[in-house]
Amino acid sequence: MVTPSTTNPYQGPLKGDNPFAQITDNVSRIMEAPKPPLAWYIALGFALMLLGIFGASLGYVVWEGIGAWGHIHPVAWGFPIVNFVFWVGIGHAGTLISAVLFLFRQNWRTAINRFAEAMTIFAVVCAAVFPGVHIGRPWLPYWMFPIPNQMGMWPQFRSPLEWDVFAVGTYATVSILFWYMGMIPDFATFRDRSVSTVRRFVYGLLAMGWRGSSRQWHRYERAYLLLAALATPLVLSVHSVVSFDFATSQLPGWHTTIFPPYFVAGAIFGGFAMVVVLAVPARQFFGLKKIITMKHLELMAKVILATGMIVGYAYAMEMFIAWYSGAMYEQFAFLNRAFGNFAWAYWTMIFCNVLSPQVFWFKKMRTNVWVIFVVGIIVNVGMWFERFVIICTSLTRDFLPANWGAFIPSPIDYATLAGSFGLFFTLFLLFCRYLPMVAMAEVKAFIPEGHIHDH
Amino acid sequence: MKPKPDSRPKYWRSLSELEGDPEFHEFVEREFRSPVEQEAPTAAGRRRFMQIMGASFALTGCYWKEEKLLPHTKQPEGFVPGEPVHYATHMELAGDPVGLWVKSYDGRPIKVEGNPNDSVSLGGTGVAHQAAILGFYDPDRSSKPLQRGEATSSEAFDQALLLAFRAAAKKGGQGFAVLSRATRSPSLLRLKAELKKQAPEATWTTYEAGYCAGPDKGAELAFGHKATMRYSVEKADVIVALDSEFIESGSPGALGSVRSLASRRDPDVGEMSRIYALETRLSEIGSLADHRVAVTASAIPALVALLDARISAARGEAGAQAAPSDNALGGAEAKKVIEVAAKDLLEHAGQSLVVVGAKHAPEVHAVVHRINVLLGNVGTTLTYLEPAESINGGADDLAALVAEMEGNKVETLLILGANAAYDSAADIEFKAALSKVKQSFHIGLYVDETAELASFHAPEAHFLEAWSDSRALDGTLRIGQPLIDPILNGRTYVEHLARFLGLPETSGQAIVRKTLGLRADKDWQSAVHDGFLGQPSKSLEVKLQTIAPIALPQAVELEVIFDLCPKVHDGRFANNGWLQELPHSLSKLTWGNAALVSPVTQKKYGLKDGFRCKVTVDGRSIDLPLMIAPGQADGTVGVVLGYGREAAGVVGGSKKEETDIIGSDTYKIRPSKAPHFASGAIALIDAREDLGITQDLHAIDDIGRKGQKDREDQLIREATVAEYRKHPSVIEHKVHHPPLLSLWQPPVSYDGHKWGLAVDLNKCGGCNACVIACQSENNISVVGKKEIARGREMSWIRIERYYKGDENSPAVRQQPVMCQQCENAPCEQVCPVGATMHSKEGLNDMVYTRCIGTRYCSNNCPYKVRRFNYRNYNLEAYGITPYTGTDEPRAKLKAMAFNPEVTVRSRGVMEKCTFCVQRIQNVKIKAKNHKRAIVDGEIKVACEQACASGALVFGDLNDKQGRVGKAHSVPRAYELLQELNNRPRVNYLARISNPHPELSTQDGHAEHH
Amino acid sequence: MSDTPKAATPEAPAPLYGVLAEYDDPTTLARAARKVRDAGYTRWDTYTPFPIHGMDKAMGIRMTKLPWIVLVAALIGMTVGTVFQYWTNAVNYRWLVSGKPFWSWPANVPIIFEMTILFSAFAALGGMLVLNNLPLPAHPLDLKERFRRVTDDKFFLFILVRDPKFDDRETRELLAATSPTVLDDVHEDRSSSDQVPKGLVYALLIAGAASLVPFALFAKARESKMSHGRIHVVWDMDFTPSYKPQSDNPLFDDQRGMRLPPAGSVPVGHLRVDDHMYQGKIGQAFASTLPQGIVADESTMKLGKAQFGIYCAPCHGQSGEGNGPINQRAETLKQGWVPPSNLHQQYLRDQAAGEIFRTITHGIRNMPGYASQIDPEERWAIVLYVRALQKSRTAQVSDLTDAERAQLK
Repeated sequence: MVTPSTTNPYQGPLKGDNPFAQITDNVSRIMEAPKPPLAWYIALGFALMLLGIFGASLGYVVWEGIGAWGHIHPVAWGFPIVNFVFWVGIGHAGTLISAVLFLFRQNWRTAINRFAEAMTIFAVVCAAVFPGVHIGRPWLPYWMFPIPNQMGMWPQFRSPLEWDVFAVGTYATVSILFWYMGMIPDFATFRDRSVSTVRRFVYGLLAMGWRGSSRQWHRYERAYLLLAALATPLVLSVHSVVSFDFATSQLPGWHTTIFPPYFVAGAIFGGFAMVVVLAVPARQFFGLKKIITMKHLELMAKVILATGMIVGYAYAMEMFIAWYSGAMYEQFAFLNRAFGNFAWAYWTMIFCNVLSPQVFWFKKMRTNVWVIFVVGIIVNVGMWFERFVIICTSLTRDFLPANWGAFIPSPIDYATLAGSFGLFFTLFLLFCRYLPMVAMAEVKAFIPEGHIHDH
Repeated sequence: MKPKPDSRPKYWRSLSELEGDPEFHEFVEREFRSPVEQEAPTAAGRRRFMQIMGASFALTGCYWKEEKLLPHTKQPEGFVPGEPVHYATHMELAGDPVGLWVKSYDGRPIKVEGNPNDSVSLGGTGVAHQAAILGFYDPDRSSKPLQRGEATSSEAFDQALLLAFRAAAKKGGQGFAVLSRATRSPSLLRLKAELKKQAPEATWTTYEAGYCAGPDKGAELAFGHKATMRYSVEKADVIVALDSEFIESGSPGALGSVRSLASRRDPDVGEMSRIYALETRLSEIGSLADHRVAVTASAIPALVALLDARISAARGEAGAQAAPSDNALGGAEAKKVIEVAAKDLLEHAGQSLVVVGAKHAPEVHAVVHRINVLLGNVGTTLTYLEPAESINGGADDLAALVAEMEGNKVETLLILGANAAYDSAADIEFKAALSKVKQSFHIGLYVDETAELASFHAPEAHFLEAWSDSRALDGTLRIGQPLIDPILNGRTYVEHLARFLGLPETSGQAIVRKTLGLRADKDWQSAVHDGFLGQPSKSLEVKLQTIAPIALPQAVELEVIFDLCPKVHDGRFANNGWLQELPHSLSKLTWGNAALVSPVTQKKYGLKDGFRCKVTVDGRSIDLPLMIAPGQADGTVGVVLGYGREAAGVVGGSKKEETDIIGSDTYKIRPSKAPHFASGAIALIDAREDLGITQDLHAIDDIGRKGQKDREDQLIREATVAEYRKHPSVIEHKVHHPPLLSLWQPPVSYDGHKWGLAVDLNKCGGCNACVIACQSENNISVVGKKEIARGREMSWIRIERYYKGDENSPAVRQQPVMCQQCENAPCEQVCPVGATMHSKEGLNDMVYTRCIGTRYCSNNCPYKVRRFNYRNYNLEAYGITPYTGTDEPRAKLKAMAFNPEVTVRSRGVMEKCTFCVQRIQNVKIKAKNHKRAIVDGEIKVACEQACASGALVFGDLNDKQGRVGKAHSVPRAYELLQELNNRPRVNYLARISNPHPELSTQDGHAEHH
Repeated sequence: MSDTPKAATPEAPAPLYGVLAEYDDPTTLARAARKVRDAGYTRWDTYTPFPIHGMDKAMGIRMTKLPWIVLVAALIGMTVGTVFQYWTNAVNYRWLVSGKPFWSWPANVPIIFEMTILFSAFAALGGMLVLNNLPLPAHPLDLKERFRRVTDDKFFLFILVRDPKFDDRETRELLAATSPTVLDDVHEDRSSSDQVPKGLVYALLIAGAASLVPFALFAKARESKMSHGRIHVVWDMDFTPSYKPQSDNPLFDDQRGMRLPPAGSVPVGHLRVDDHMYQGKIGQAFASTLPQGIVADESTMKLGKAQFGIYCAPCHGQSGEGNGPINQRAETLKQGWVPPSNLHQQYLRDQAAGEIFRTITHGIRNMPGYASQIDPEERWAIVLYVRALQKSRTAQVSDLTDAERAQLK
């Protein structure tokens, strides 16, 4: 990774008497405060509004038929799948940060891994909504699950969509396990600090009677390591599998071997950007500046810069291979992508994903919260457009010119896109308020006072 | 669980029991007592019905629909429930009968097919014939007599008509006039004579909007007498078609002509013919032609004159024509082509054919007659026959009638089908004149514009429910039998006439039989069984008379050219959803008409594609959308008639039902003096129009255009016959790709049956009959203009249209594309639920009920032939819901058009061409029962059966000697996108053109690379 | 839930459970731990707010066997993934897809992989919980108010009385020597019993019972008869609007979807002008010969026999005595029934073939016509067979040729 494992973002701010208590306070205060900050209410209200739009528009789609969306004859996959891939992508950074950085002993992760994981799970939830409702008969998605059904038949396991079912399903499950396991000790903390019986009961339930015995810690750490080790290939596999939806098809612009690494890199890229976008306001409003330090943000900025360049390389490679292949249809697909009807989308993508992160070459920029925040947003926009470019523009013009078409999104398309953010932020805001947003135990273990200081 | 017969909560019946609602009872009476007395429910009526339905649903909840089984009390001999039978009958369109075999399913007509034994159509059909089924079950069809718009009894109608006629007959028929459409029905003509006998003073006017005086009068000028032309195109080595529609369905004998023409376009059997086409618009012959030049209509006479001059000179005859000046010839290219064509014709004298468009002046036709005679073609490629008795007429005849009406000379007007209130020329005030008539009786299929004005209206019987007869082009008789008793209380013209003429025989059957004079039952039955009767009329010896030179019309700046719509004809089929949604073979326009201009014209007048424009003729003007149509002659505007109907019905546009008017009414600018092409003006109106087009719906940018050009040569492979003979592999070498290797071998070897299809690009002129046939056979939904404009058409077989060469003198290529039934089908492996998979006979089966609609298959289909039900189109377009079912009478009637052998798809499932698997199964079962093998050609898929030119061939590829086996083995057979190694079961036979050596460089035929 | 610690009740002192030492920082705790370890204690533990590196060593904890559990789970997952896919797609429900064999394994790898991960992940978490003996609702340490800071900032060392080396005095001294901030006794938990709370038990029982209700309803629905059908929420394509054979159509008076052919219409291939073939008549008289196209040969006879067996034998009996099973049944029922004719009666022998054909076609007495069920050709075949039956009763040896007689010998 980009940073030497010796980096320690905590240059003393937490020193002084009893840093452990400070950490505990810092984090627990959010949950214990009688009222969360006003910003939280405003944000939640806004998120709920979007969520309402989401529900309404999906309800309409189910009632009216997916003709309510902008799909047309050649473009049979539109916004819903774009959103799906987008959210799955977002859902990568979380597990990546916790698992991969953990394996690489990138200890600075401890401050951000918790809500990175949360973000993962909420993003996957958003993603999971779309495949279900985008199908023509939304009451039948369970036919894709390998359960005995009235037709006495099984899914067709050669279909990449079937792989998706398993990949995304597994990913969601494992992420939740990983997330929950990480929270057990912190739940215990909450339990032991809570005054109201209800909270004590609930957190107690979640903590499952954790008392921090070292013998338990020993197995706990083992298990955590194992989960991290399992999650890492999983992260890589999920977006690879998602990319198979396209890579294994025959469509020019989809049929590309570079897709798996390209998608994974893109996912990490977008994921980190989203973490930044969430982290900045979170530390702002919940006073976690001491725990999520500038150093963290800077490190993430570096990761964004690096992955951004990988993505840029992938774009260039696609073009080159298309030209090099000598395949007429392939060449046209990419020419059309860059200069055809949807060139504007392509160049938006290039700007957002390749150019905008370049500012992070300068430390000034890397250390400016607002720059990082803005770039984070731009990158997310860019990643959405990447999926749009790949999925929609490739479909508009394939082999036979007679059935070329364009793609014009319907209002419902926009409503569902915006709505999915509503779902995401609602979940995230609730998480901030009621769950340990930072892995206290891990942070404690990591500050100097947490170590044994003899010999 | 077997429901107990008594206590069953049912739909509306249970309700009438539950709440003895009198209104409801009355409603039920009206709606369900009998289709005969039923009227289309008013909006209010429907609403009330829906309330009741709603209530009943609330009562019954969402439970199984109660299904009744109702067998015949005595099953008629030879009929098995669910086993279709065919009836021979015919459909007469504008006096041209086409023999049909109509499939009847449980005694209901379900599919129209060509009668393979028909001596004129040779088994071909056109879109109008194929679409007749939907027209037959059209709930907007008139179902009861009207008096001043109020429902009345048929007795009242008969009585009024009878009295009116008696009164007129007393005065020798004075003041009694009949207005009919063109017909060659001996029975109708017999009754016409009878009417003349009883009322000598009565007048009988015939009006056809599409009437062309040219052919008949032309023959009179040339030979001094009428003569019917019968082409034998298969004998012609050289064909010069001057703005001619002689192979387009609707013009007499066209279906036969196109088949015999196509028979000479196959380089693998015998010598190819050569076709020259000079025309104003890209016609079917133009798209098949080896040389095509776009010329204005007013240049045609000059070209004919030139041709005549050359031929006469060569034949040492005193040329009737002086060679006209070049500038009259509409361009140097046209002149060059005619010069070459003249040579070619002379070289093939006696084996050649010159045809000119019916719309052109009698003088022109006379000269063309002369040319053919001089070339010695008479007796070989064309024969002159004794004209059969028929009635036909155009604007002049109507004008005469109107004049009489204006002068109050007409007291009673009997209108047989004619819709003059709509389709009369702009300067004929029929409506006004009609108001002067004391009593007018209208008999027709619809309560149309004319019927609304008439004092009486009676429903006409559709040809599928009536006895009829007609005389085909060659003089043989066609006999039409009903497949079902009239479902909407209709009667034929002859039945009405016979009634008030007081003839002993009043039933259609009796009248027809008497006309044909078949006393013996056996003769009658076999005649009915065959659908035709009698000998061709004998051929005439023609003697040329001296023909006055053609007065060359001076060229006008802008010609507005009026053509009948290839879909809705003169507007009479406007309420037919299939035809309305059918993409026009060139513009691909659905649901409406447009002004077609060439790119040059468009630039010249500063018009914009997809914008509206104002077309003016004789000071009258209309506005309609404009489309750029390469191939349209510069300086011409092509418009079709038959749109803008205001009383067509719910589908075709109706003021009464408050549904959208479809297209614009071009009759409003059609001058009676020059009904086919007239001088006019055109101007841009700055208003966008969302056109329902199915190809190039969205503007193609430069990259797109380039990409299109690059691949056309590979998609539609071409060569000249010379190249093809020299290196047969020329077609194969159009595409170069690495060897096609598969990682896997399929676990089955298709050694039982191996179904395949061959499409001959040399024969397809893009007439669209296959498209409608497929729609009718496979219950394909109509989606409506809005969805089409989004690009959601559903047709399983689409005809792709590509322009070749530069856009100012393009050639057009038609390529029908349906599911290619790939052996390595890309769609199959991506379906997560296995809704599409392969059969042991290599069919790419689509299981609708298993489909959940991921649409991945469509994305992965390189041919994009899969169609998706984005909405419940049956609900939207047919008012039929496969979800909960309905007893709404309109829906019930519409539903009868569905083929019971094919699932009616609901919303959210994918669908596509199945190679008419139901037909395959039927034949397999029959063969199995008789313990025999399937004969080659026994299975005819819908598109193949409908195809007049025989461009489509279906069969078992394992039968190497079979038609399709042979077709796949010729060197010009190729697979579309074969480099993808999908191994499609459809092969295209490359287009091989036969250009004249002196012209071969043009038209971009012979391009090498 | 007994995380809420009760204040230790003064009366009835519970027996000692263990000794608890509290420390402020990891280092002192680690030192203490080493001492206790070296002193040879086994049943003791340290409690910390976070995992302290080096503590394992300090306490001498042996490596857990969790990884092995996970490995096994992984292998199981892999096997399940493979076998399940193979069985479903290549054995149980095979379909021919894209010209591939029923088992083309590369396409199945992703799912096998995912299954492997899924199983192992569950094993990792589950294994950890089980080995850690979690969830553990109550523990004597919960009684100590100060112990609640173990999840915040305090560090504890705890030795159980149960430890074989435990000695009331030595142990305290040992701990005292490790300079703890506090040294305290922990008594057994009397306040919260080990019994599962009654309320919980009842709740579980009720829930369990409730969960059976739906199944009971299913069972009932399967057994009971209803006048209305089963619930049908989404109708999709379950009912077609097109008219299947014998379906109803309210548009017509008789409600029948099937319509009778109009009078005088003649479908293709249904032309029946040959009276001999279709009426069994030549002129006015019944034909005594077979019509054109029906040859009296082996195959026709076979056909006739088959058709006779299907349509005639039930009444007339296989041999035509007129005593088929239906007749026998009718006889037993004794409710007035005209017995079918014995085909061997003289007048039937004398009947012209055409007349028998007529009878089969239109029926006679209470025998219905079979026109709609049996093709004319088959009817003639039956006639032929009936003739054969009749002949079989009257045939004389003299009817045979010499050759045939020779065979009989």
